[in-house]
Amino acid sequence: MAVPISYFLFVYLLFIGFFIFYTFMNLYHILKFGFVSLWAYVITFAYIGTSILALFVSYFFIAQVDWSTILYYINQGLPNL
Amino acid sequence: MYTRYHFPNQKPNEQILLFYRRHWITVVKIILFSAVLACVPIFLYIFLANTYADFNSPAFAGMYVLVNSAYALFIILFTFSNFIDYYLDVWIVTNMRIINIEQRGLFSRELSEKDLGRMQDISSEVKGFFATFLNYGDVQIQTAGVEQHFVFRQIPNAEEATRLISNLVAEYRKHNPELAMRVANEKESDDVE
Repeated sequence: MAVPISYFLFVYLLFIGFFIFYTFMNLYHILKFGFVSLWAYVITFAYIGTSILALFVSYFFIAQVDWSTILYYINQGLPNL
Repeated sequence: MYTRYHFPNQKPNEQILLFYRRHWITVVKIILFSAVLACVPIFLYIFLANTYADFNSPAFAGMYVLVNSAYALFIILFTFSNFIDYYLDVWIVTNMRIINIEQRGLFSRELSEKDLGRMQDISSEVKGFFATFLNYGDVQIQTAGVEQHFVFRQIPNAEEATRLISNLVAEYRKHNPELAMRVANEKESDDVE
């Protein structure tokens, strides 16, 4: 049975959903309970900036991959690897 | 909104006198641990590039991009979550009470407070090489009456903090002799039991 590697893209998108959920939870906590300071602002903006950068870099590489490539089960060999 | 001079449920004429967070070494530990985790894909890349013949195949490249991306995002999230855990753990001493706020993960938050005059047996503990070298430790405060105690964990200048809190408690009792008497009686009856 052939399995396209795009299946793993859906798993990855689930992880992105988890990442966004936790990001909002973290931001909620620091905005609601955090003591206002320059330190907190710097770290929070660094987090948001790094996350956006990581997502853009990921998108750049993910866009170059041919997601129609077929990945076979091990019992049939791994011809595409 | 919390600031160094204002926090929710602050009483009239209540002022923040001491404000503690864990020592900065906690942040350094978080950064170092995350940096070590971030190096794993580099070693994995070198290992796979040298051992795996079809390293550049389209299927492998796709999987590798996804795993690396997810791993990088996980490290960023892990670092920030740990920082929040550190940042939201605070211990406040005001001219009226001691407030202990501890964040335990993302979905659990503990807040306890006690009148300053009810504090007894304030002690500090500096344990370990780094704690001794960088001068941080735990301050333990036993409260009168009920079996409750506060622990200020890994705060800088723990011994100095103990002295300052003891002075503040003594000062508070001087201005509230009735409370001091009541606490002393409670302690006496506790000792008899």
